[in-house]
Amino acid sequence: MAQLLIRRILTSVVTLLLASFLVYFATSALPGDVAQQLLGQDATEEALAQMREDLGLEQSVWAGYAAWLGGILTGDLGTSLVSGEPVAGIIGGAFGNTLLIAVPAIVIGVALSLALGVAAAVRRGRGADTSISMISLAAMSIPEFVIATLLVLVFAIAMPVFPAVVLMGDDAGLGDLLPAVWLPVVTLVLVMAAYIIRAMRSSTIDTMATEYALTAELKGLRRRDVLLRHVVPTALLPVLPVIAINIAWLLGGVVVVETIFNYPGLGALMIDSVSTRDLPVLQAIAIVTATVYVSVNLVADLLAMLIDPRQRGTTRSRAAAPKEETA
Amino acid sequence: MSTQTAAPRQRRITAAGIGAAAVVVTILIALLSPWLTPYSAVATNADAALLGPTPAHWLGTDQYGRDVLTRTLEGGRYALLVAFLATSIAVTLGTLVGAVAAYADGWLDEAISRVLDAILSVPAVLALLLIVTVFGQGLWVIVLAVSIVYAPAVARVVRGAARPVVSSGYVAAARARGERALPIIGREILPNVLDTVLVEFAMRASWVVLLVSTLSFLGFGANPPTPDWGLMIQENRTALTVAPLGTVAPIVSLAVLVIGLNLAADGLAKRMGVDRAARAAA
Amino acid sequence: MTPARAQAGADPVIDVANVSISYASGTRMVPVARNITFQVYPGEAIALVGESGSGKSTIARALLGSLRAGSQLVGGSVRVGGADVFALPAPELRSLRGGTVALVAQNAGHALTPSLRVSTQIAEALRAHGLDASAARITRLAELVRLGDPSLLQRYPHELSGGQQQRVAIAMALAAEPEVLVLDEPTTALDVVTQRAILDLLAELRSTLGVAVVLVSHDLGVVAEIADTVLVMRRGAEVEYGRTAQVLRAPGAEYTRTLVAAAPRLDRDAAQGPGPADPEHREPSRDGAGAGQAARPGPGPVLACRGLDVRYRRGAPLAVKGFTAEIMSGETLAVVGESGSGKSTVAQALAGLIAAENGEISFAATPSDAAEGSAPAPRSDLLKRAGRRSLQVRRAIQLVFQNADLALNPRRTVGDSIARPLRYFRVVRSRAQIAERVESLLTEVGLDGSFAGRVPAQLSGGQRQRIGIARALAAEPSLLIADEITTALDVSVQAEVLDLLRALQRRRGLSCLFISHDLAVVQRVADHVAVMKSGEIVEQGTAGQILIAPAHPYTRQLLDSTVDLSTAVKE
Repeated sequence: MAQLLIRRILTSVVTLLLASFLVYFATSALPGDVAQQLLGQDATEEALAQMREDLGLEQSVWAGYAAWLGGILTGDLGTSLVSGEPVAGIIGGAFGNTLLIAVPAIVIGVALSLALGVAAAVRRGRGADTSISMISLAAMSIPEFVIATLLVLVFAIAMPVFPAVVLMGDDAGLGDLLPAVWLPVVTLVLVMAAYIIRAMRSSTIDTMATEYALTAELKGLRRRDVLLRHVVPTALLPVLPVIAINIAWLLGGVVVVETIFNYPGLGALMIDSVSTRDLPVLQAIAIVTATVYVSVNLVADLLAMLIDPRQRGTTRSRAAAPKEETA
Repeated sequence: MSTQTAAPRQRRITAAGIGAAAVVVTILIALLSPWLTPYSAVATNADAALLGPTPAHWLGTDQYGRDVLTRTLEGGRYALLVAFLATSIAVTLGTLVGAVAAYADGWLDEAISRVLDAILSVPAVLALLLIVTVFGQGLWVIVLAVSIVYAPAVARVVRGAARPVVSSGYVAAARARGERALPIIGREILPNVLDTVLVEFAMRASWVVLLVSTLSFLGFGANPPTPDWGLMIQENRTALTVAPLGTVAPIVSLAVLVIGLNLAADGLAKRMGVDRAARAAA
Repeated sequence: MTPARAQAGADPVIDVANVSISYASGTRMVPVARNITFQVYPGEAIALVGESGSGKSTIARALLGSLRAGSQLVGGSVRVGGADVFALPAPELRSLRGGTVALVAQNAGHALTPSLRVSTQIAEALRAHGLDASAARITRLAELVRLGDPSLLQRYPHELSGGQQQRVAIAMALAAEPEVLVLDEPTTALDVVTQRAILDLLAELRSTLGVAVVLVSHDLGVVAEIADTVLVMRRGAEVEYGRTAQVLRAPGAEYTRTLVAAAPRLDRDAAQGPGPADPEHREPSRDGAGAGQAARPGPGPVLACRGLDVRYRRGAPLAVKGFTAEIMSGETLAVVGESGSGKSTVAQALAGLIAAENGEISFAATPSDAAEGSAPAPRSDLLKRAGRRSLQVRRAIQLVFQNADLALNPRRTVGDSIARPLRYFRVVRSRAQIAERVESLLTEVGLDGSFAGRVPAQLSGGQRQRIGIARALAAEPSLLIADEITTALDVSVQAEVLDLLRALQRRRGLSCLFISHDLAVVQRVADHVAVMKSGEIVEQGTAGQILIAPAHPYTRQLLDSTVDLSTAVKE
């Protein structure tokens, strides 16, 4: 068990290292003059030289990567090319704001989707299932910028209950942001729910068809008990990675939603940095989101081990096998 | 053991048929669009800006006086082209890598899996924006970028589908004959993951269309004045209350295409016995 | 037809009257059971017997008011304990399930919920019927089924052996003291020794608890041991219904006769080895001294292993330790043992699917090599994977697989699958020759040329296994490795495949390594037998020696545990 845990955590670390390597190389080491790309054709020689130095392009790629990685490990994410401020501070604030919309969206979205997925599976083929399936298919098919645009139209313009966009800009305080989080949260829930509902529905249907679900029913248990105790825990297993992907995607900065609602989170920062070609900030965002992705997946795997004793890799079963029944 | 109930399956086939029809019609319209209306999709006309529906302009005009119907009909071209190219590359690449990983089963499999995970760990939109920042917004840059972003997911799914094939008797028989890895992958493994690959194609295509539209919406995909649904929604949404059709028309077109692709993928998955919902993870 | 019941005064605890069940396939209703009628009296045991698709499981589950999705009762009634099962309101149906009639499903490994400790699952069964679910009560149930160490109750299902899982499943079924126990293939997934122990337990429970039993099985040996009456089913309909001893000894219906004849039986007295089929070749008295040389020239060893060690991965324990055996030209060596004994690993190592770690293998790739009479020289490439062996060796050793469903590429036609080795080994070259050879191979395995165009999905299990054999024969091997080739087949098909194998061996002078867990099957085909346990051979010799007069206690235990028809039929 402990061995398995350590192995799993090491795997995560290796994945992260690889990801950081890819990000660094994709942005700094590819052919062509990055500085030229960033500054444009009519940049002066001095500006180019300055930029190369700022980006560490003078050194060999490996030395540059090592220095950059070392910085990350010590909490130094570099300085913004635009504002000259430390990247860590910029990202910290934006990430906090993203959490403010992501956490409620995750909590509501996951709980709601799992319940709806199970409900659809139980009523398979009937009206409720058909409507849930059709709505989730539609939600999957309509991009979030459309959902967000429509929500803005309906709520903020036709019946102004919520503020449609945040006007305060980057230094908005918590009090300013709170009323503005609801529409983004609703959009995010709508977009992520579809995948989780579909996965949970299909997994629940599969699990309901297992021998052990039938056995539980045929020993006289109520259907509710069969469902909650015997079906749902196992049905959750294949859905956990789906949830993990959705969470990682949410925390990774919901670029579109934040842009439309003018919400100062990680996604909006990403778009700004692309427009201003602020490479250090983009690299740092990539690392932060990759870390989120890897950690969320790690947590999903650990949860799976918690739910499913088979994944804990006990060695007892093997020890028990040979001495069976020989007496 | 499992008894197939045929009634819902038949309904599925019809839904898939509708989906496929929607996709085909969208593609046809995109191909024929230059000859479908008398207007140019890009020429501006300040005198006719933001008109409502008229007999001359069925869906009205946008803020530059361009015919919304014309732009909507042509608006699928960019997304469809990128989606077709990028999905083809991503699925081909992913299938090969996935099949090799499944067959290799050892350190090579482990190494491939780690690299795939690392690529997947950077969110798709961010990866695309990074690539676009460095390489610009050219069509092929976006096609290749989208391919690289989606190939690992395809590879993971194909690897999963190929694992049971690798442990089957016919692959063992080929190995016992002494056949080399490539013929085994080509002759025995790939034909048996074809179902999965086809479903992947339909499903990834729908995601790529969404992603490309999102990029255009954000201003990093199609360049103005190219007619593109994502870009149109971005341009026209400020005039949503004055001339709503300018936004609604591309939204409906985009939704029809993606719902069509999704229905087709669902139907395909159902008919081929591939569980599609369970793999939204990859 | 109905066997006379002399249960004075008692009402039947189960009364199935004219039951028909169908499932909806599109707009058609496909019958799965037609007009089935039987009664079971308290304490009695009935067996529903048939091959796959006979509808026996459907009827058994209907006793608990359970039908597969899409199926429905289209006629007749099922009464259990006096109540009409399909007319019961939900709460009563729940108390009937587990309370009056309880199910032990086919494979306990699949029937126990993986995420719950087994004690919790037993406690649930108690609580569902309003019974005391204390630890003491659960422990008593565990003692009743002889689970052994009570700490096993705190484990999760996957931490128990197959036999222990089955005991837990039985304890769970018995929790609410039902009047009827429905056993759906209760021992099919178990090893012989474990099967014996479970059957003994069931007999004991019947006599102590007086519970009635409905047994679903395809195995006439198991049926003979448990059931008082037997209902033979085929394609949903009754074939024969009567007292077990009578039906098995003097079957009335032709189909039952076929089943009884096909049932593997272990002849423990006969002085002959592999059955009466071809006396001219089989000389079971050849116990190493070479007494059988008169039958055929040059019966030297085709293959000889010395001290073979195999492990699956580096660092893993040895799966096979010091395997030493010879296969004589034209003869069959059967390797028997329980699951995990390493017998399939031997097959895989010899076929080149895994590399051997140590040892020596010598092999006569051509018949003339073997005709010398002495063992050929050891070859180092035989310890390696197939990819590193010479083409000649790869061609001469061919493998037939356990699970016929997975043995053929579902995307290729039968003709394609058989043609592949023909092309790969350049057995014949031209297109016309290949087509001709495919057809002759198909005919040789009892099919015909029209099969070449079909895909595996259009074939039955037995036909697939024949194609698997044809594909192996295409390479013109001298040694055939058959790994549990009859395990997944119905008995009648199993008998046909075994007969085919023996006919081919005789015709082609093939040698065979036959891997099996079933001693009755082994007796039908083997000249020599090696018994394996925990990766090592515990005993080997001629089939006659091993199966009639075993020396090692483990072999004796295996033999004593074998459940077959011989006793039932002889009585």
